[in-house]
Amino acid sequence: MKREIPILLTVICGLLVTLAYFAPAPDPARGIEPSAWQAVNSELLDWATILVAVGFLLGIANLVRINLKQIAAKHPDTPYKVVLLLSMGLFLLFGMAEMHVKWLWTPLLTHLVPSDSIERADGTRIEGYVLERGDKEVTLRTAPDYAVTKVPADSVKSITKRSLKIWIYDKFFAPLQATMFSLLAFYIASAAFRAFRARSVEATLLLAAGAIVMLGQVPLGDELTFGLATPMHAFLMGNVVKAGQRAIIIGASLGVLATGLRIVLGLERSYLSE
Amino acid sequence: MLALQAAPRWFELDVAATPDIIGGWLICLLTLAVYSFLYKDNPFYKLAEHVFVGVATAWYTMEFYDSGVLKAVFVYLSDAFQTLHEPGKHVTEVGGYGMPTALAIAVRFGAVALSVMLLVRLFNRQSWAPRWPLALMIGIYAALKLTAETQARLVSQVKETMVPVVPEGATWMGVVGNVVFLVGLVCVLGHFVFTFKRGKALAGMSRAGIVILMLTFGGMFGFTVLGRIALLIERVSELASYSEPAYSLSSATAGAAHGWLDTALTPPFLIATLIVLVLVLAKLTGRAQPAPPPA
Amino acid sequence: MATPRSFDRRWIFLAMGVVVVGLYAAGIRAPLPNSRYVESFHKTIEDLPAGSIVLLSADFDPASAAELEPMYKAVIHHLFQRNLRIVNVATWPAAPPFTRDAFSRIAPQYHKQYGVDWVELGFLVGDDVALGSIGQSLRSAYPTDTLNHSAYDSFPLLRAVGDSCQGIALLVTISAGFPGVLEWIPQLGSRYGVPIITGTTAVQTPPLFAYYPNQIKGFLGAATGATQYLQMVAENTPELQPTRDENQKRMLVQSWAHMLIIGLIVVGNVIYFTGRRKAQA
Repeated sequence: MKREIPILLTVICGLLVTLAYFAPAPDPARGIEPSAWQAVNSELLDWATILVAVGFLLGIANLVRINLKQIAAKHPDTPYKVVLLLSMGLFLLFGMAEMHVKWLWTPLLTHLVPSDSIERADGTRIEGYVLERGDKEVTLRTAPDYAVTKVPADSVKSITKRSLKIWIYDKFFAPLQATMFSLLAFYIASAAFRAFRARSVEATLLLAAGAIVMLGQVPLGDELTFGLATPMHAFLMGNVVKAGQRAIIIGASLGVLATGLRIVLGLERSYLSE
Repeated sequence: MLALQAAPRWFELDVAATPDIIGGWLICLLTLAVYSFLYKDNPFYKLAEHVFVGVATAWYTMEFYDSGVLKAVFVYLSDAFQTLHEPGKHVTEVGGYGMPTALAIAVRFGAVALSVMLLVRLFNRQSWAPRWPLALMIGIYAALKLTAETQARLVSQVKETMVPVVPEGATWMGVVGNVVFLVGLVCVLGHFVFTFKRGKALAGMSRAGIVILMLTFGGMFGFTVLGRIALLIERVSELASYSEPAYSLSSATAGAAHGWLDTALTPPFLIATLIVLVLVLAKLTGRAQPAPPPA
Repeated sequence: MATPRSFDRRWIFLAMGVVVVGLYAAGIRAPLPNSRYVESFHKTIEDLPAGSIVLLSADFDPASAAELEPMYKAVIHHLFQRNLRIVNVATWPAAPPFTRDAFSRIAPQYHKQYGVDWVELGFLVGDDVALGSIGQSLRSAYPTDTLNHSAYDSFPLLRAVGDSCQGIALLVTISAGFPGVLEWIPQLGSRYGVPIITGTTAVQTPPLFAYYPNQIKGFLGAATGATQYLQMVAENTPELQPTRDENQKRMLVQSWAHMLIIGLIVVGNVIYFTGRRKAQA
C-alpha cells in the first residue's frame, strides 16, 4: 500500500488535470458557463501551489540544520556560517513582521516595522501602519493604541510607504545577485582564450556563427564588416537557428509527451525513489 | 541606472525616494567585495557570498510563504469562514464555478493535511507520509506539461512549418531562407532518429543536421556572450552612479564644482582602494591565504 | 607562455575590466537600426484599442535586470501612452520590487489611477502551476491585490478580466528564464488564445525565432532589443530619453567587449595551433 497509494494519487490527479484541459473554457458570449471541471482543475492547481511553497520551507529548514551542524562541529568557515544565519534570521524577522502588520503585537510592531507617513486632507501628518487602501476607506493602525481603525478615503491625501524589507532587498539582495552573475562575463572571456578551439569543422562552424551573432547584435558590427554583419545575422537567426531550435523543440516535446503519459498512467515510478 | 531626482538622505526607507547614502556605500562595498574574487578567494568575498545566501534564502522564503501559505490558506480560509457566517447564499467561486462554501473549506483542508504530511520529512526522512503530496505534485505537473506543451510545442510547431516555401510577394533571399530552413529542420530531425540502423541517406541527413546544430549552438553562444557582458556593464554603470558628489565623504554638494579628491572619496573609489590595500598588505605580510582558484 | 591554458587568466579579467570601465567612462553613444521583431512588438501594442486590458508579467530578478528592467519600464510607458489598462503579475519571487518601483515612478506621470488603470497582483508561486492558475481563473489565483490588500472583486479592472482570460487582449511577458515566455506560450497562448509578445534575456532569445510570428507576435531580444525598443518609444517620451541614451552608451561598450572576445578566441587559436605545429615538428 505504501507504493500503491502514491501511484494512485499521481494517476488520479494527473488524469483529472488532463481531462480538464479538454473541458470547454468558459465563454459567456457563446453561452458556455464554468463547469465543475474548472473547479476541479483550479483546486488541484491551488493544492500544488501550496505544496510547492511548503516544500520550499522544508528546504530552508534543511539549510539551517546543515549550517548549525557545521557550526557545532567548528568548521573552518564557522564565522561565515554565523553571518549567513544571522543575515537570514534578521531579514526574516523584519520581513515577516512587515507582512503581518495587521495582527502583530503592538510592542513588536513599533520596534520592528517602520511606520508609514500619512498626509491628511487638512494638511496634517500622522505616523501609522496602512493595512488596506480602498476607494471608500483606508484601514490602518495608528497611535496611541494601534488598534485597527478605518478612516474615510477622502480624508487621506497621500501615503508615504516605508519598508525595511525593500531596503534590505535593494541594498543587499539585488546588488549581490546582480554582481554574482556578472562575474560570468570575466569567465567567458577567459574561456574564449583558453578553451575555445577550432579543432574540427563543426567547432569552426560554431565559432563562426558565434562571431556573426556577436558582430550582428552591436552598433560597430556593420562598420567593421562592410555592412554584412546585420544581414548575415538576420539570415542565420531567422533561418538556420530557427530550424535547429524548432527541431530541438519538436524532439523535446515528443520526449515530454512520452514521459508525461508514462507518469499520468502510473507506468513511471522513479520519483518514488525506490 | 540611478537618476538623482533629489539630494539623497543619509538613511531613507521611503521606497520611492532617491537611494540613501548609507545604501550607496553598502552597495559599492558588496559589489566590489564580490569582484575581489577575480583576484583570489578572500574574506571580503566570502563574507559577501554568505550574506547573499542568507538574504536570498530569507527573501524567497517570505515570498513563497506569502503566496503559497498566507494567501492560499489563511486568507482563503478566513474569507470562506466569513462567507459562511454572512446571511444569504454560501457560495465560493473556485475557478469561476460556484461551489458550496462548506465544501470549498473542506477541500482546502485537504491541501493543509497534505502539507503537514510533507513536513513530516523534517523529522523522519524514511517516512511514507511525504510521498503522497509529492505524488500529487508530480501528477499535476506531468499533466500540465503533457497537455499544454504537446499543443504548443509539437502540434503548433509542426503546423507552422507547413507554410508555402514560395509565399506571395517573397524575395529570392526569402525563398532561399525558407529552403535552408526546411532542409535544415528535416536534417536535424533526421539526426535524432535512432530507432533503426542508418543507411547512407539518413547518415547524410544526420551530417547536415549536425552542421545546422553547430550553427545553432554558435548562435546561442553569441547571445550568451552578449547577455553576460551586459550584466557586467550594468554593474559598472551602477558603481559609476555612486561616484556622484552627493555620495562623497567630502562636503561636496550636488551641482557644485568638485575636484579629484571629491571623486576619490566617493564609495566606488574609496572602497576599491581599501580592498586592494588590504589584499596587497595581506600578501606582503605573507599571511595564510586560501589557495587561488584552480587553473 | 607555453600554451593558452598556462596563461594566468587574471590578466584576461583585467583586460575585460579595463575595456568595459574605460569605454563606459568615455561615454560615447551609438544608435542601433531596428529589427523587424522589435517593430512587430511595438506594432502589436500600437494596434490595441484604447482601454484594452494587458496582462504584464514580470518574470525576472536582479541578475537579469540589466537587460530586462529598461524594457519593462519602456513597456509600461508605452502601454500608458496608449491608454491601455495593465494587470501586473509576477512569476519570479524577486520581481515584485521592480514592479513597485516602476509603477510608483511611471503611473503618476500619466495621471493613472490605481485600481482603474492598473493593478499589481504580485508573485504567485508554482511555475507552470501558477501560469495554469492565472489562465484558468485570475480571481482564484489572486484573492487580493498586493498593494492595497483589497479583495479582487473590489477592482472594476479585475472584474473585467473574467475567467479563462476572456478580457485579456494581450500578454506582455518580460522573461528571464523559467518560468517565462516558453511556459506562457502553452499555458495561455495555445490554451486560451491570448496573443503574446515578450522581452527576454540574451540566453533566452534564440528559441523565440521558432515561435515567431504566430505563437509570439514580436519580441525584444536581449539588451539589443531593449535599446531598439527604447529608441522607438523614447521619441514621444522625454522621461525615457536618459534611459535610451544610457542603453546606447552601453551597446557601444558591448561592441568593444565583443571585439575583445573575438580577438581572444583568434589569438588563443593561433597560439594553440602554432604550438601544436612546433610540437609535431
